[in-house]
Amino acid sequence: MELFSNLAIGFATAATPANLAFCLIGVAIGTLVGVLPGISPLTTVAMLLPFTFGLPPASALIMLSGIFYGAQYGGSTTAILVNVPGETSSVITCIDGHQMARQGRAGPALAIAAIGSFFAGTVATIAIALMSVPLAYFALKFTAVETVSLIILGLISAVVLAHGSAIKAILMIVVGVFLGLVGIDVNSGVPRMTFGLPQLADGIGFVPVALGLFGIAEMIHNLATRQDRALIDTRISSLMPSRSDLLTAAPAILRGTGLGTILGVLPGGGAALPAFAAYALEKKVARDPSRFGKGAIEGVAGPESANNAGAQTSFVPMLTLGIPSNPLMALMIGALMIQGIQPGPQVMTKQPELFWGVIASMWIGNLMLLVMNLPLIGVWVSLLRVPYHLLFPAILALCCIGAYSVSNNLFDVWLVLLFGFIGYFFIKIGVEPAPLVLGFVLGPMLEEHFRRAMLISGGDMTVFLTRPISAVLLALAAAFLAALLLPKIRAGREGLKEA
Amino acid sequence: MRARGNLPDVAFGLFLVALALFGLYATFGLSIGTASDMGPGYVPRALEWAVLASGIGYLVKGLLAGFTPMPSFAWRPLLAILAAVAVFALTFQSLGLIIAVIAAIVIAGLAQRPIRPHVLLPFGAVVAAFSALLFVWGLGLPLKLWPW
Repeated sequence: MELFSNLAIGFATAATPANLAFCLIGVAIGTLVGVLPGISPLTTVAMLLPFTFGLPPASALIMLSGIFYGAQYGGSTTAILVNVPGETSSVITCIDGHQMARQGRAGPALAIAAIGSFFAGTVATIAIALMSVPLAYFALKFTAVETVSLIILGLISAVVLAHGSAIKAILMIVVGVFLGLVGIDVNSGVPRMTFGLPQLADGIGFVPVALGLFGIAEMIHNLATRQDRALIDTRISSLMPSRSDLLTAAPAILRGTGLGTILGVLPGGGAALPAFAAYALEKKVARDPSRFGKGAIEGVAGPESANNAGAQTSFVPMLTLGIPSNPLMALMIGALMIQGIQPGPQVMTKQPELFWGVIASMWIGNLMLLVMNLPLIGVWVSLLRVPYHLLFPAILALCCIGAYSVSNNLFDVWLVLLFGFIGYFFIKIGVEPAPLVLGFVLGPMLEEHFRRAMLISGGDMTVFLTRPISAVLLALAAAFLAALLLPKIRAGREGLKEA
Repeated sequence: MRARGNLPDVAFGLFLVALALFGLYATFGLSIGTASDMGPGYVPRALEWAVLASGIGYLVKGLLAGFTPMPSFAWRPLLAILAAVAVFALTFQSLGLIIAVIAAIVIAGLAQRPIRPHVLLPFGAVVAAFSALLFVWGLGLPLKLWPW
């Protein structure tokens, strides 16, 4: 079986002492930022990017991905115990998880969340391994024409899955693509929109944009809205869920895992959407839906499994096609490029240790999280006592140093300031910054392949429709767009937002 | 006169128009080329016109819509946080990491009331020492620590 030999390569890479250590550091940091509300895995990865310069590519990616899925575990702890979502993906866990905690069943809620997440992580790891090979071989046949259509499909489906106004999201993508054009044009060597600034010759840095739009802007928003959270002293008497808990939760874990695995793969997927969808599903299939909101264990098991599965399978488009499905994956692409690796389907064939090592490390990391989380729950809870008025200045300082150290350039710190302001403006006028970031990362790729495709076809735009694979991809994108305009689906999206 | 207009949409429209005009100005001299042999200006120009048109669209739509007020900005945290980043950028090269970090943290602290200088100063010193250890000794980054 090719799968087993591939996974064997992966485990051989992931199980070296150094990589085990990086995996542990990654999931520990991930749990930490997951537990703490007000600091997202995205900001953390952006801040920590400079740390990975000196590491081998596999170690760098293993650590950074650990932060992402580790945060999904940590987020549920805060949701259950404090009724504040540590991460957006655990918003939904607050509903029933916190009710369970108030009924003195915090232990079983935490245990089910961790067990569900571990099960989902295991299934997702296998799913990634199974899906990657055919996808990457398929993608290797792509020419510039298909690549353009694929990127467009990716961007459009990101809009469908995002919440808020679809037209605004599309416009934000266009703005992002536009900003991505700043810098020296690869085809002609002419500087564009650089205003003679040498710092802009390579384009606007991705790290300062991400730190500004997400880290700084959210910090300002948090400071304006947050009341000091009241940490409820919940005694965790027993962690073990009862037999009936397990019996009720098991099918929910299975459903959540399946749903999360599928939704995570879609571009624009990630951890938040699967959790919302899983909760809706659990409510629908339950014999007595009125229990939800009053401490139903399925309301914890389903979404927690789904967000972890989704977080992991959202690596698939990034690893196999080189196309990020969410801003965090865009940062991962940035981390690869810093290492001198061009992301895309060739990574799997040229760097099998890297590719399979990262996948194998996910399962190892999930195991570490399971072992670490339940016994150490008290440690994580005590972290919640760190007040935000000390946390945010420290995050701010680390953001500044992190932005500077990516290319030893103060210009990037000024960019953090600028994009922090723009990000806060976006929050205020109700526009999501995530599509902008995706457009920003994919923009240069899109332009390069578009120009190459036009060169091949002699300026004939119909080439995108006459080549079969490209036509199918574009038809899918058109179908997604059309679906957006149907009122029923629109209502569904609004409903998800409010759920 | 009764207030009109969806002000957040108007603001979004203005933002798009400003961005497009700025882009058109910045890419004014770039050659466009032809579809089969695009110059560096082709794609930027296409996007600029698209952004400009949608911006005007939002502007008009927003002005005609029923009244939605502009959400108020939280000026205090906004200015404090941005000032903290600016102070870091201004002092980092001349005064070194230690002072820049402490200054940024104290100024960021102005974002909230009550202001706690007696907490923030020592806390800033701890974070500065921690980042020095982490970035300079731990990662070996060539960062200047002190003014001298």
